[in-house]
Amino acid sequence: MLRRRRAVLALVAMAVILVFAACGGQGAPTDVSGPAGDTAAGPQPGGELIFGRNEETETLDPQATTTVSSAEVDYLIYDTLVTRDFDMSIKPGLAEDWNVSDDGLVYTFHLKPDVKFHSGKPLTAQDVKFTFERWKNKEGSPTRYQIDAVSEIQVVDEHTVRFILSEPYAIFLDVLTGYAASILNEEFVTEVESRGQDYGTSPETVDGTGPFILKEWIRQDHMTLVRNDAYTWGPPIYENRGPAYLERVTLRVIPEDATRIAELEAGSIDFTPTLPPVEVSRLENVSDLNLYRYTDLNTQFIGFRLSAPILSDIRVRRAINHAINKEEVVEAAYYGLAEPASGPLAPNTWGWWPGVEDIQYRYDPEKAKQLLEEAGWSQMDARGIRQKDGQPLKILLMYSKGPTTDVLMPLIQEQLRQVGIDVTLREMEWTAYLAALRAGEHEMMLMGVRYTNADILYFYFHSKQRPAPNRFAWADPETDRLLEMSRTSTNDEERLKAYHDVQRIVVENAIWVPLVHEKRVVAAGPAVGPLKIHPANVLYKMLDVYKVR
Amino acid sequence: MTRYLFRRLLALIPVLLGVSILVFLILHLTPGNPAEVVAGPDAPPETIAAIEKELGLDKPLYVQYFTWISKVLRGDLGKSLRSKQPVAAEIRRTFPVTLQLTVVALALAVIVSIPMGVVSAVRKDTWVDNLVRLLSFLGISVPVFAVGLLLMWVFAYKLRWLPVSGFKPLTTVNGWVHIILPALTLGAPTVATVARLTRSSILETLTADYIRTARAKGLRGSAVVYRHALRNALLPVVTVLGLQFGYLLGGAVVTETIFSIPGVGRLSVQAIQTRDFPIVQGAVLVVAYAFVVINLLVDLLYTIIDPRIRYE
Repeated sequence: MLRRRRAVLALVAMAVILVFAACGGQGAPTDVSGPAGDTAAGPQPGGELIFGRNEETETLDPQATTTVSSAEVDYLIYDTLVTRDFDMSIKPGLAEDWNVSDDGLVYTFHLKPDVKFHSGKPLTAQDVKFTFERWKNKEGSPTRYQIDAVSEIQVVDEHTVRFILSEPYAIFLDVLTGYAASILNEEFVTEVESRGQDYGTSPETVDGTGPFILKEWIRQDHMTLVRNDAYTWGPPIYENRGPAYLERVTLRVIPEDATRIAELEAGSIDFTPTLPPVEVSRLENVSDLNLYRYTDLNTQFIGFRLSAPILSDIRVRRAINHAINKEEVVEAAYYGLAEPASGPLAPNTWGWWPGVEDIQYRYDPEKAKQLLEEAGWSQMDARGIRQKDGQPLKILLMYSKGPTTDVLMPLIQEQLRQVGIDVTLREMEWTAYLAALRAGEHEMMLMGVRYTNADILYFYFHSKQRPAPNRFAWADPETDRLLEMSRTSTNDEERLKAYHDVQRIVVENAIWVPLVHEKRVVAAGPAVGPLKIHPANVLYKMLDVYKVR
Repeated sequence: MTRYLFRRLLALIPVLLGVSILVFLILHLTPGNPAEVVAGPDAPPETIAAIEKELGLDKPLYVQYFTWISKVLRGDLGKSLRSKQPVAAEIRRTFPVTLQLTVVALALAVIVSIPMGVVSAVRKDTWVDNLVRLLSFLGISVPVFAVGLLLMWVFAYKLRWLPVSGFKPLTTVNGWVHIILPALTLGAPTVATVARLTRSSILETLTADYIRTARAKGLRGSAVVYRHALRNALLPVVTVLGLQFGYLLGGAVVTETIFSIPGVGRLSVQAIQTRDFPIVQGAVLVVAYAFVVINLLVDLLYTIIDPRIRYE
């Protein structure tokens, strides 16, 4: 079997995102696809991409959802005012340019002319105003808080729109790149809603400006999108500004991993964005699939509830940090598809503090034992579990099942057992888990968080966010002050400093055990041209995706 | 007969009302908040409270129940908390899919299992009997997901004879091609159960006096088995098939998930995981209704199979 492997370092920029494209192929060398820009034929218009995913889109009302399976379709059907580049920097979208007042309170956007919705109606500043007012006033919107700072939206002229903020909001442009900020058609939405229908639930109730048009939606089975031939306003992050190469995109829901992989190997789907780590090495070796590794911003961590009596002692929390061998976790539970984490943020996040490398808790079981001794957990019972005043060192660790937990959780239990801590594992179904965490039933908890910027620190560590997502009962005025500054300051240096200080506080106080930053792997069949993975959403607008045969 | 039917139909009302109260209570008392699912794990506390209010989850439980049941009685099953689709439409879309799958699975099971049982009984203690018993044993003890993945691996992945997954309406040839593997998977435990039952039931009947009489008056062996024994032996089999039909309708979840079939089982399991109350309540009501009606039909079928049975 002829086999080639190539890795290409695609991007290094302000935030360093590494995209590894490993391409394997069988048969004649001409069949082997190379890294981007290297294929003899180059992009070909036409063809259909069949996208296999594990979950159905909830709704295509971008303001009513938080799921990836909705976001990945929103990016295809809609556009946003600004877009995120492959290096996470902000680039024009529907707005060709914009300016921000010195006090950070006024954002003015100039829309591209000649943009049309799928229904044929031209895009105007009024649509933008409508979109954001709808979002801000939508009671049931789970993302509404993202634009709390917006106090007024003004239509300056047909193609100019102005946002007035009540206080500076440093991540405002980041928010505008999200699927939730997709621009809607005022007339269309108003008409659908006046008929008493729910917007975004069928092809008849969706209208956007994006490169693909929703043609058919059979829930739990498939969704068909067709190319928007009028589309020429793609963001500058792509060489092809539109129309898309692909004529048609079919998104099939295949919940079972084994089935989805079998479909991929059988050639009846072209792409899947979700591969369990355990399958990766097998797929790399036996098939003609192309696997792409990439790193998005994510942190898998164990959080401590600081109000739990045993864990209120910082020495115990530090001991647990020292007792966990992250290298072993990476190898055994993640099959090498992860990097050990030193602090709460992934190193490719804007605002990451290099100092976490120096103050992190390295694997050192002796140090862990010593800290536990100092904390008074010095007696041992017959099973080697530590005791203090006759009370055993027994801690509850709650988690919800994920692709790695079957190996990860017993491993952590064993590592902590080595230093004399008796960990009780409790696996819970996801929804019940969230409820239990909100009620503070946990002592330790495992969770993974994906984010697009360092503002995730605000969500997880501001005292206002208790009991969730600040599930650690962490309340500290200094942390709150820094986090508020990270949002309201218009001075980048000051914001960086604030983020750095929060990371220092989180690590010094051992609020978490930062475990790993996961690497993601997606797989494409041999008929798909080389892919460039977008860190915010794998195929993003699919303007550069094409079929080779 | 008419009075019997009327009584049975009347009895449906308390059954369904009981089911509605039970499923409502179980769902709402299970930990887990739908607002939290909609909001995602990173949403701030105010957002969750706002969504709860929007969904009407902040009201007392009995108020929520009466709001729901009074709508149901007027024929309105409500809307999904997540997809905003009307529950009735979701069930209309998914229930026929499950029904088609179940009927094909059951038909396949009957075609295979009853002859298996008969042969096994007639050729008791031969290698055929042993083979049937071994297959039945496997069919009952191997879990559905293993059977499904195994069939998929052999026939779809290795041999490429059949598609891996998906569902197409049975009005097309493609639909029949797609349903073979899932129907075999779903029907496997039924084949095993019914084959064993048929075997033991026939063996039991063959010892009856009237069979001895039939043999004594010189009837051929096959006529004894098919005309006399089988008909009497089928009564318990029909009962079990009726029950199996109900179980398959409600229990197609695993098969539907493995083969990506958009049926009512997958709809309800996903709704349970996300605490999408209106969907779960609607789906359970409909499946319970189907279960009760099928049982009624089976009871009526008895009168045809066994003329001695009459309902007054």
